[in-house]
Amino acid sequence: MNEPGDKLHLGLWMLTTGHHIAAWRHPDSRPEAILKIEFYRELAAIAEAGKFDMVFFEDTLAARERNGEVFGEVSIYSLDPVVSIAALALATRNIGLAASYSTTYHEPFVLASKFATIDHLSRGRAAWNLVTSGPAAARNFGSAEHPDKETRYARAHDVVTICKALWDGWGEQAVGFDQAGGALYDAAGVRTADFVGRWDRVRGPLAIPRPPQGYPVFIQAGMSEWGMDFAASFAEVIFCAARTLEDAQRFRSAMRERARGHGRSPDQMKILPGYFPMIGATEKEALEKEAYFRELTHPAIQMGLLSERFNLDLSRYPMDKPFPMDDILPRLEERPNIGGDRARFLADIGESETIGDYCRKMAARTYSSHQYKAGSPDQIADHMGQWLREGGCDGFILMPAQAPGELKLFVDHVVPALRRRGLFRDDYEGSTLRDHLGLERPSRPAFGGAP
Amino acid sequence: MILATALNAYGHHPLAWRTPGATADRASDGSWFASLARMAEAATLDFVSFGYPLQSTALASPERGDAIQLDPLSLASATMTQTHRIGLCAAVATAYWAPFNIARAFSSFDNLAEGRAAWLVDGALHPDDAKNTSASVTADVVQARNREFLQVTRRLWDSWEDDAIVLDKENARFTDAGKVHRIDHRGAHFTVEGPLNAPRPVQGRPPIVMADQSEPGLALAAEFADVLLVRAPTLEAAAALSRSVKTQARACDRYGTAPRVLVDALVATSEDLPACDADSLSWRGPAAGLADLMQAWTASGACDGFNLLPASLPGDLIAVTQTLIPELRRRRLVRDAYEDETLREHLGLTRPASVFSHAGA
Repeated sequence: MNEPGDKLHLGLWMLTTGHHIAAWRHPDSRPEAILKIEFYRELAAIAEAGKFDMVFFEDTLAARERNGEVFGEVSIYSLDPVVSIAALALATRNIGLAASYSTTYHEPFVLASKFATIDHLSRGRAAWNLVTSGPAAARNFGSAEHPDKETRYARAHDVVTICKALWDGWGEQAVGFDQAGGALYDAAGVRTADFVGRWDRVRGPLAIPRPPQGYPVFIQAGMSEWGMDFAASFAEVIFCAARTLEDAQRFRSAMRERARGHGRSPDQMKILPGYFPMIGATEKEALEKEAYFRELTHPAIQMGLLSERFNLDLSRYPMDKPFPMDDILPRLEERPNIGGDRARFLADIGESETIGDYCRKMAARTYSSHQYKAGSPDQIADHMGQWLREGGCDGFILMPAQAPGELKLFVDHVVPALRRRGLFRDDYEGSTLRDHLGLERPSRPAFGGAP
Repeated sequence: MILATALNAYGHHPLAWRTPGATADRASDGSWFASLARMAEAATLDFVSFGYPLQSTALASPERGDAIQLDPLSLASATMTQTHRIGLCAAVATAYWAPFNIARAFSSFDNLAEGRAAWLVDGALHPDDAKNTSASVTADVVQARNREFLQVTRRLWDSWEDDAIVLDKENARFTDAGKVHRIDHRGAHFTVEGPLNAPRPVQGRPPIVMADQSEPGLALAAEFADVLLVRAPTLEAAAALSRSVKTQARACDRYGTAPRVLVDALVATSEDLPACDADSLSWRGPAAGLADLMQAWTASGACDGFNLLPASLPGDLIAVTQTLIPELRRRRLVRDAYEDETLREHLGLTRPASVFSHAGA
């Protein structure tokens, strides 16, 4: 359970024209604008006007494919998320700037430099979602095969240790700027990281003073056993997928327990499930909108999405027959188990009599594993409030069906409804992302001390 | 002539940070860099660069004004919303990166900034870098690795043809998948299947800027560079470097024009700072006086322009914009206003076609 006075934390998951698979075909969508920074600047400004905690950009390291081929029905690229948040650093004032970036395919020294830089440029608003990347990435990085999950998480663990040591390299007052004495910084206040591990060897220090937030905010999204324990050891924001309040409560209390097990205060870990709203002036209108989005979903898109998921060309199978499980299961094993959604996915298709049934049911959403709610602003605000009050979450990562239109609708109508219920801030109360999230600023450990 | 300037926190004179007015927070203040970039844009320079001169990732000693170094690519990216037309060039080291990540980062940068990105290739093996990376790039392979790195990056930028994105809402065709290609590169240093997960850059390929005038550096520049930054104390030295790289470029299988050669020019307009010994061009005195020299060097073909290094910031950049640029404009040696959209266009460089667009795919 949360305390009665607790408020929601809201992040905006930036995904080009929106999270509905057919969003780009919406008459209001401007897919020709989504390669330009002005588009993201507009979305960030809307979210900032709504006093959101942060915007978030995801990361993939390969063009999307299915059956070994790129495909055309939806966008298959993914711009560099760190370039994107850097570009927004001077174009926003208060909102947090979060990006996923791979610990498997970037040097730790580069990762530490980039996130320290963005934290400086934004004056304390950077966050990093650590990802270890899916198997498709390996082919673009000369690896014979993608390292297994255990190896990836072990390396990610090392990367966290290295980055903390690099960010702790500079004392809070190390930029002495002694012009008369000729010392830009105080050498005694800067120390090396001297990390030597199985994969990485990093001496340091960075040529960048300690970030304004101490460390940028750490985010993690692993829902597997490995991922949960890794996340509980250091993550301050957890992105997750929860289809029911009960699932969310179970996950949140398990994570809080694990955080305690790592000697951390569970209140220093904010759990934000994905939330995909379909907003109408009334519930009826919301359902009509849902139907409209379903209409927008070209059969090729829905079938393509499923085929991508299974890595199997489903157009070869009849829509009015059950899923070809014998063909699907072996393929599914090869896919990344993002957010532990494989099991949920199997449960879903178990409930669907035919491929066509499933397509119709899931057409409203890109990510069937996230929370979905069609309703009026008051209904959505009540629903979000219930999740907060009953301990299902500390907030949500918002996945607007379409952008900027549906995001604007959320900010103009749902946010005020949340405020009327005392569930969301009226204005920013601090200047850093840690302030928005109610997270402590990590202090610099004493020399040789454990973090 | 082509004009660029290299931005840092305090200026390119080693003592600039100790002059009155310099403050500690400038080195990590994005709005400071944005104000400098806007100043350079008001002077209609071709581009500003971040991370020049190239240096090791290792922390420099405390007396150095450039000891604090933000990530140049993030800094350049941050300035894209604060400027409109000027080119934005960022130094990134090949030793720390994989070609796929560089190609993706610069494609993203160039698309988001609508064709204003450039990559300053740091291909050096700085002795201290080995301490901060697990990558094992050694002196005997660095040249071959850089060459392969640039080949792969180029092909990744080309892997999406210019018209691959169709956005046909009616028929649910976002991308013409037939115009997105694997590169299937297998070389001595990299194996990269592709395609890139970012569409073709607005400029086709963001301009490649290099700054290594060693013999192997010139050979690499001849093959790949769009712009070469050199240090030359005399017109003759500049002319020799230009001749060398342009002659080699003619023998290379490269698209378009030979590299544009820009000579570093330290500009010190006040008497506050002592002269520094340098093996490069250094101007002391009123900024307008530099115009004669610049005109003579470019007219003789010794170089295509200059990379202005303000000795002290913001004073020497202000002097450049208020006195040198008006003088150069009066002589019709530089533009009065931007006439084009992209950096490639500012530089008068042709836009390369994708190697895949002739593949008959």
